[in-house]
Amino acid sequence: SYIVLGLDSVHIKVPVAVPLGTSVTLVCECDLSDEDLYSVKWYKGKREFFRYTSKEIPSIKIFPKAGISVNVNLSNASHLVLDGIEPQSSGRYSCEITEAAPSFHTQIASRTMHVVDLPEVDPRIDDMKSYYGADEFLEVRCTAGASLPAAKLTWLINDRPLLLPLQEPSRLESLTLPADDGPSSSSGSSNSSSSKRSSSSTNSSSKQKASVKSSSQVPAAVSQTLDQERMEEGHEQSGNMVVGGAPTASALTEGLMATDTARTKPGSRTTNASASAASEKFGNRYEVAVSQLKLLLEHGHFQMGKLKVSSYAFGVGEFMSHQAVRAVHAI
Amino acid sequence: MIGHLECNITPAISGDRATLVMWYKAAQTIPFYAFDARDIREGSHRSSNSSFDGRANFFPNRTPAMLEILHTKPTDSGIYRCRVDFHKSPTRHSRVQLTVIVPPEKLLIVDEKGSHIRHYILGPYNEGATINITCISTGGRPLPKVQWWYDNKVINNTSVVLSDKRVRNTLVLHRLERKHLKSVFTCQAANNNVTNPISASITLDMNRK
Repeated sequence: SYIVLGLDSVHIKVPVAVPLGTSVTLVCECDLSDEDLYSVKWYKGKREFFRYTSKEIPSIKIFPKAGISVNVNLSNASHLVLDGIEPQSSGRYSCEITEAAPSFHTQIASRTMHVVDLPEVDPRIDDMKSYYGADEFLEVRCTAGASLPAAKLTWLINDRPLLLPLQEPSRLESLTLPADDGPSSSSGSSNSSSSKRSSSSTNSSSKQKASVKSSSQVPAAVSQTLDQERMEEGHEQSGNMVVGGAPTASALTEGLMATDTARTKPGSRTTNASASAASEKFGNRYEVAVSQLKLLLEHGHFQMGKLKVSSYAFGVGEFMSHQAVRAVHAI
Repeated sequence: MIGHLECNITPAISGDRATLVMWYKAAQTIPFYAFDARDIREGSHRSSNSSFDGRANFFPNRTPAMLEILHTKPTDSGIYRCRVDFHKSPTRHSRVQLTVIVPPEKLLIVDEKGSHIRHYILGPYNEGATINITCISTGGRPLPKVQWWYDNKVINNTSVVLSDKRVRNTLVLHRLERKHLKSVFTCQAANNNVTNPISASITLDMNRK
């Protein structure tokens, strides 16, 4: 028999979500002195990329790994600093602490870190008419801006969250599409616009253009215009971004549906190098969240003869993102 | 028997070497065996877990490097992890599963009343009769499969587990014919393809008309 020295537990701290392009510090601490320590190693997935060996000089060794850029000057036995976080930095990080001889007692702790990139544009609400009556169906679609990972979409009617789950015949459907054009695209638009092209000049759409955000009819041209608008609004909105601890609203009652390949539009723009990173399990691809709402309207839905429909997009880690608002007069 | 657990300690890049090899059993956090080659080329061996009691020995110079466990016991079965620290390349982790097989111990053949077959001679039976014999195997880990053979062929494969130690196979033969006189039925129990199965035979006696 022998005595077990002090490695009882490992205290690991890895942020759940970290913004693209920033630096992050991962912590792995234990109650061993440097004398009793043999090594501290960091792994991403199965591969070791950082090693601190207390009795060697130099004490730090780095092994190359895609998506990882270690700041050697700021890193030590307990703190690991990674610079230039990129989408591929997402993954499962493990810290392995080994005590010195004779026991070589080993403890491992793991955490997953997600790299997030919030949408640059507001979410967009499409297919909304100018007038609705009670007992009519409100059928609208909300498309978020491309983000990493896909945003979570919430619906509000007259500033009150939609009561879920919805009763038949009302329905809420959600899906996630890959954004093949990088952060500044919202590829969900093509389907609705192509179907609308035949009835391009309905009264409702022209009215809607005048109000806030319009449903696009010709994808390329209109999207660009909207992007410009939204980029500006996006910047204004950025002051409102809140890093909060509130649980994400559960707008997605039904599971994500598999993406339909026919819906992704053929890429016609230059892609960001970072956005088209090789697909790994951790979703390093930018995605566009789409939520389709079909709601049977009742008198109670209208306030002062008005129906206001809005939606919010949330990112991972409860970062609050932008909002899209449609206000409509209704009978 | 000796259990052999392989671990590849050859470095992936030239000029590198393994500095530390550690063996862990299942989910334990303290290695039961450590080969420390940090300072000297020779390396020092440390075996620290009393349950292996000096039965474990690591041979780093073999290709592949090998951990031998002498006098293996059923409790040695399980998953073993080998961790190799290299001087210039990332740590390598591998897993090996060790299964310690205990052959079955003995066989018993009984008739439909449960009586032991005397002198291993069954009968005598009349032509047209039906025989019903059961072979029961005791022991073995994992539990063996019990089979009935006749004329060098398997005639019944239906193995039924009775408990954590016993397995049976019941052979029923209808409408005996003259040609079955003096035929030999063999029961066999096996749980691996490394050791010989155990077997027992009975001879069928028939009444002449």
